[in-house]
Amino acid sequence: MKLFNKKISFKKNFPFIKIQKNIVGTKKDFGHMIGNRMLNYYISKYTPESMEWYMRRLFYKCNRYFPNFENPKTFNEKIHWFKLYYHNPLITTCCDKFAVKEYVEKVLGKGYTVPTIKSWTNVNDINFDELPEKFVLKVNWASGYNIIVKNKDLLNIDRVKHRLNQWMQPWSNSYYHSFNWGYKDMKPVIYAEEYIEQMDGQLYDYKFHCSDGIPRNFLVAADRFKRKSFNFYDMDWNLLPVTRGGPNIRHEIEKPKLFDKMVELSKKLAAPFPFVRCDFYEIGDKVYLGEMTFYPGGGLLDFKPLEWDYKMGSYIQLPEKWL
Amino acid sequence: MFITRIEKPEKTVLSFCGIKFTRKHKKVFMDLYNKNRFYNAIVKNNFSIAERRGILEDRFYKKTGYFPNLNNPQTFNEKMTWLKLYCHDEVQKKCVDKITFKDYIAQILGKEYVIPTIAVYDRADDINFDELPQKFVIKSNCGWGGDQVIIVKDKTKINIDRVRRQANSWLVTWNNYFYQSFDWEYENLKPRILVEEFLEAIDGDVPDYKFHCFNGEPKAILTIEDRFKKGQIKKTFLDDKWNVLPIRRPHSTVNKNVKKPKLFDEMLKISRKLGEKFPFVRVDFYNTDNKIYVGELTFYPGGGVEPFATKEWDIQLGELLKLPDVKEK
Repeated sequence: MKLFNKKISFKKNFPFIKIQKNIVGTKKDFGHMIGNRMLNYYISKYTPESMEWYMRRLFYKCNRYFPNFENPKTFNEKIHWFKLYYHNPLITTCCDKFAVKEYVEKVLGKGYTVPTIKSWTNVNDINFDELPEKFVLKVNWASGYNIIVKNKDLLNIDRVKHRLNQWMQPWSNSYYHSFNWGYKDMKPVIYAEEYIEQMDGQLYDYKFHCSDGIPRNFLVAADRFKRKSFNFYDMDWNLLPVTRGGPNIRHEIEKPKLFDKMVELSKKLAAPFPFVRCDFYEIGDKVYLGEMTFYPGGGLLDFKPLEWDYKMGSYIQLPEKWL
Repeated sequence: MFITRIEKPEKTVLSFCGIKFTRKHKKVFMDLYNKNRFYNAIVKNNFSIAERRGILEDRFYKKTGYFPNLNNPQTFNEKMTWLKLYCHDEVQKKCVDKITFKDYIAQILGKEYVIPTIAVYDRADDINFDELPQKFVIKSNCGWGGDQVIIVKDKTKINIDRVRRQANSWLVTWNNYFYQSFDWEYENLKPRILVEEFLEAIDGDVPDYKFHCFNGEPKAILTIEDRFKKGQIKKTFLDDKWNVLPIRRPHSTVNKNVKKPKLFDEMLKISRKLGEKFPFVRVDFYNTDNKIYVGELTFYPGGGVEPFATKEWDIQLGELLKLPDVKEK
């Protein structure tokens, strides 16, 4: 278009049109297909039988090969198998980002989760005068539902309440995003957490893929808000030639001091499950559990190259069906 | 979509962010708008009251700029949305439909307060133009805001097919106020066509008088003048002794020297009589020099989301209303 050749800013002339940026990988299809949660909510309410058909369609759009949910072989297919045929009630408590804190206290002991300040079930009950200068507001039943507050005085309280209220509606559940079973019967809670940050402003996230209670490989996530990037490693810190959901990290990463402790903890947490991903942060001398994920990427993010989808899938051994 | 090349400069309908929108663009907007209502009719139709509340709160914030507290409603707009969700009286259903509304007024006040109807039709094909007089008005029974009205001043000059087509478009199920703002009375309301007498005294730019009855007392009165002059709408709020109140709606001006209508005392009497049965109602009058007609009863003015120029007046109008006790909250 001529507009771009002349270097006139598009944003200034057309501020009401949202520009879709070039998103890495298949994120474009991903967003388009499953963005409308309200429609998914309606579909699941009235025609639950057609859900499986709908999931197959989504899978093909995002991963570019047609799945076999009865005899799964790849990583993404196996995650879908867990959605459909493995309904362990313990998954629901562990998916819940608020209820998991109690569970972790039972299994590991105190001090492994970020301390909560307070929790509410209705937006109108929140009293912002009680909260400290810095905090993080979260809703428990999906990923990305958090507001980071660094300075409370600059906060537009009505806007925050509106956003939280949107996240509390029944169709905002992660189940209506990509049909992750674990979230289906969850009850929404708003809670405030303490604000945490590493020394250099970065927050590295160490995510262990565990199957049958043993961590097989892990990935490191960095630049959460600017340029999401991930590195896959095996357990001896060798970089694996695979990407998923984003490019590799540009700079080098040092091995954290408490790495062995993280492995130990993830073994304990993953023991009762056939497959789980445990996420950890390292802040100072402490290890914090971020979350336990049973459906990484919803099973809809593709591996590049594809052969790694099969390799990762081969680590997971399927249990008997649980319905 | 909007960046297509325009050959001839056309008349601007709306200018926004330095861009001039023409009639072509308006068509696109209206299409999207109607599609949205269609979508709502399919999807949101079956939602429970708790689910409706979430959508209404979302709409409330976007229109008025503050988040409502419906657990403890204080402002005027908050109280309107609260009533819409939790206070359902079956009589209101009768008043909203413009056909049954006339029977209701005739029972309480008498037939002379209502514009007489000529005919009622279920379908657009049924309209028999030979029966009708030279001048008349065609309406739908659930239209609002002067949207679904055709005024016919000379029967011989109109294009009958075009009128039929326009009237037919009103009868679509999703062309209903319920799917936009969840006014519960409109749910399952069967759309019909209504033909009224044309009254010359009401025609043109006659000021409107809207009496807001709080618990049966008409404590605030709104007059609207110069409705059809663009950018010159005057909306003035008055109390029941005809003193101007400093309330202002955005995009309008206040006229401090409003003329008091001759039949003001009778209007007060009528609105008191009609407002007894409801916690809140707005009575709209068509006023001529020696006669009054009751136009309609509105239960949620502005859909409960129309903003005031400052939030203070939203609070002060809200203080006038006392909410009834409702069991299921």
